[in-house]
Amino acid sequence: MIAALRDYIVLPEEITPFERRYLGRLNRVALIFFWCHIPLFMGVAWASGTGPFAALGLTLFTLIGPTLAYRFLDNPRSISSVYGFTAMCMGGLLVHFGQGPVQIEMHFYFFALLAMLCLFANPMVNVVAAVTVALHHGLLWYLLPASVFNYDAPFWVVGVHAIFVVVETVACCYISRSFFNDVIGLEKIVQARTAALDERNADMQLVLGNVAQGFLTVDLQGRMSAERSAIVERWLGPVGEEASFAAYIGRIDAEAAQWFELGLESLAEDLLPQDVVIGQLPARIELDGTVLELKWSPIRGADGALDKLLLVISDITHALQRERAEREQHELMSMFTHLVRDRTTFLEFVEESEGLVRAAASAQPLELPVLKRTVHTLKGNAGLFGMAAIAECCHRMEDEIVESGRPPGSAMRAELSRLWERSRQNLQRLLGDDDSRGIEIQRTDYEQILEALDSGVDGATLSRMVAAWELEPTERRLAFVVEQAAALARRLGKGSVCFDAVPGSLRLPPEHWSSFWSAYQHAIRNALDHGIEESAERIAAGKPPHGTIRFETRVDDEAFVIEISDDGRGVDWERVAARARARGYAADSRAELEEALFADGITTKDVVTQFSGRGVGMGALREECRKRGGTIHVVSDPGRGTTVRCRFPLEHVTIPEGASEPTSKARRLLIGALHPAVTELFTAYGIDADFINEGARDAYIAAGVLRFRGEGIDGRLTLYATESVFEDMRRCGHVCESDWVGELANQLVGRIKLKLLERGLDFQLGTPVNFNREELGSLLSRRPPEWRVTTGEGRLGVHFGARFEETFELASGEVRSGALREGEAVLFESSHVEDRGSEADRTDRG
Amino acid sequence: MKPTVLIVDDSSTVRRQVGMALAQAGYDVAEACDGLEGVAAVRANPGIAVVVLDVNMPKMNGLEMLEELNCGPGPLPPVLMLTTEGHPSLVKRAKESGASGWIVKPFEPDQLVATVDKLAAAKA
Repeated sequence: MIAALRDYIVLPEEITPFERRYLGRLNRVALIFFWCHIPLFMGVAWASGTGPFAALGLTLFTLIGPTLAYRFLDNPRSISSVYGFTAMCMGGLLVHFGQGPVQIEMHFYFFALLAMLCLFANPMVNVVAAVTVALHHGLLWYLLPASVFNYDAPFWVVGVHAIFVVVETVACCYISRSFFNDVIGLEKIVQARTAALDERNADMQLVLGNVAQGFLTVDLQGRMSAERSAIVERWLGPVGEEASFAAYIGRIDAEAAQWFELGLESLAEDLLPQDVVIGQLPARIELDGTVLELKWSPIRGADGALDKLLLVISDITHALQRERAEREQHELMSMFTHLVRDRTTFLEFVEESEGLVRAAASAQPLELPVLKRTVHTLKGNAGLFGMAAIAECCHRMEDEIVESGRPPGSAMRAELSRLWERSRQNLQRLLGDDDSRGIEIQRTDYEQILEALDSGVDGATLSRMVAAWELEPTERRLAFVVEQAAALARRLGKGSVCFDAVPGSLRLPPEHWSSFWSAYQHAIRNALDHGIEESAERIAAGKPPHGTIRFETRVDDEAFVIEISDDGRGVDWERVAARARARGYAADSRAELEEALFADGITTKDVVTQFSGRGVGMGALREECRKRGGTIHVVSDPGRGTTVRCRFPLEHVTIPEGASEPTSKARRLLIGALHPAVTELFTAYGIDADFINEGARDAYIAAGVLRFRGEGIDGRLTLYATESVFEDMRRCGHVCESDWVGELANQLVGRIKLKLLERGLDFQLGTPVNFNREELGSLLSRRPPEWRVTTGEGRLGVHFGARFEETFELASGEVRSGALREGEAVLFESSHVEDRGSEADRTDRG
Repeated sequence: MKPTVLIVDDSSTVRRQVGMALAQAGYDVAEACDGLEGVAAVRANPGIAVVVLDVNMPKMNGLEMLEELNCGPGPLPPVLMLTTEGHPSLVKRAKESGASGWIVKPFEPDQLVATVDKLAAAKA
């Protein structure tokens, strides 16, 4: 209690500069105030008849103390305390010299002074004054009562005075201490608060100094805040004086800096929505293998206006690496699964993809449409075999091709090569040293051969059976196709689609077909993505809610057929026509529309997904058909479904022992144009063939599918064919590009033979085919004696020496008049061509 | 009357996507396949509210089209450039030639519509 009282009255020792200044000023004023009492007291003494000179003397004597204190004491509080004493002396002097009728009233001055002493903000001054006045009253009441009272006051009156003094002093002490605490001590309060803030700031700095993310704000002039996490400078180097964010990141990534400046400029212009602009500020920078993600958020003022931007920078290198590692792991698993399940198919895929990657990533880029197809096929393949990174890279390449109209840049091509190389290395790990291809034998094959051995079949049959082991049963292939289709359906969110596989008992040489099957997935994608409707749409159309896709391989009288059919909405021919016209293709007849369906860039899909919609896949599939001498047709029944039918000559397929032979081996060869007579002719013969007209031809040439190679017979015969046909012919020594006219006959007949006898390929001569029979006959007759050509009314005979002789019916009777006029077309049709390809080939070379 | 937005892009996919988004947002949409067509369309229809302009196009690219429009009579309507992430310098040049802003492809249709709304409102 006493200690508390003491601590209340005695101020803390420290005197702040503010208190020192304040007391210095106040002590000076107070001293002047005291000196001003001299004339006052002399006046009062004169009026009261108590002797002005005595007043002068006594007052001067009293002033000695405070004056000396003011002059010599260092502690301003001590001076104030002396003044407390002096003030009460002054009160005593006034009461003394004011003797007379108002002497008692002169006591008021004590109370006035007591109150005024609160200005010193020091309770000790009040206490000194109170003690002084108590001593003064007590002593003078006893020694010189007239100095205090103008009547004969008993001692208890002194007590009454003392009570007033004590009451006032208590109040004054409170005021002084409060004054000291709240005003004079304010500086200390501020200091204390500042210290507390500093402590908190230090905590904040500690956080900013150690947090693993970069936090900073950037104002709308592009200046960075001084408060930012230390890691910012560890990542990006020291911030310069001007603290310009653009200059700061510009040292690392000039483009990011430019985007930032553009963004700020745009925010200032306020022409675009702020969210859009902020969303387009640079989002990622890379330095020395570290990838930093930049996230921007607006900071708004009280009025809602954009004030500055908060930037949070995170190092996402590890996250990306982890993601990549997980993806690699996933891909590795996928490779492993495919390898275990179907090693041959997977290795085929790898081999084919190798070529595709090399072509797509080559420094000498392919022609754009070819590149587009290559990348598209690669994307599809990679997607099916679970190589998401490569598929995604291809998707970006496709975007870039579409966007820029140019081949992708070197960085993207290098990325593709890198990804592929990595996958290859992974594959190598899986394969070990053994990447040779064994022959996988199905259990049924094994059982069959045992059975055959038991039953003692002849050696030739056994040999054929064993030879067939190397071939892939279409059953296995279609099972794989169904699996791919189901996986794709899942990825497309197509719910439940039923898949039927009708493989027949056929076998295919796997190497020969691998690139076809990889292009075939475009047809699967189309069926799923374009064909099969949503359940609701199907129900509304009165169909079962689940779509069905059927895959079939069969031998159909004269051809090996691979077919995919769906029960979806069918091809929207109007849309195809609109798209085709928009791209400058002819789209009037059904044949032209079919052409358009295979042309690059035509799709009926409004949205390009990673799976389909770019309109390049079907072109690739047709290319693959043509490479094998096949044709492709799309039969569509609006609202009921679409069938894509690929037909191939029979030599590409092996029909195992016991399976039924096709009834006819007729093959066809078409040289011609889309003249109505020719079309009729085909119809009459029931020929399933590709037509080509001028518009489509130009489109194909533009797309790089069809090549123009030369003009013959006085410039009136113009030949177009697919690149692959030319390549085949060149390989066999049939085409000499530079001297087309001189070699025409050789090429023409050579090609007829080559295609008919060896490869079975269809090919076309584009319009206009300006020649007549005589000219063709004489042209062909100039060739070596191994063969000759005879022409007659409605007939064209081609004689290939003794080994092969055939008369081609030019046309049936009803077509004769229309088809065989000069300037139109010639059709060769044979119903029983025998396989003498190798001999014929040698004849040509001779 | 609905305000008209002109989309100038050689990619029919982009024209279709942008066109659908804007048509749903209540705009009349006009299309042009290259800068030459774009210039003709702007000159033929001075009431065009906003031009959405691709940078890379055959015949006349977006920047050339802007410059051509600047040379011609009549005020330049607000032009929103469509660009890819890699080319800030193209945007800079476009802005110097009077483009109001840019959108980086690929973009959300909502973003595009919000941007066109703001540009069209500013013009009106």
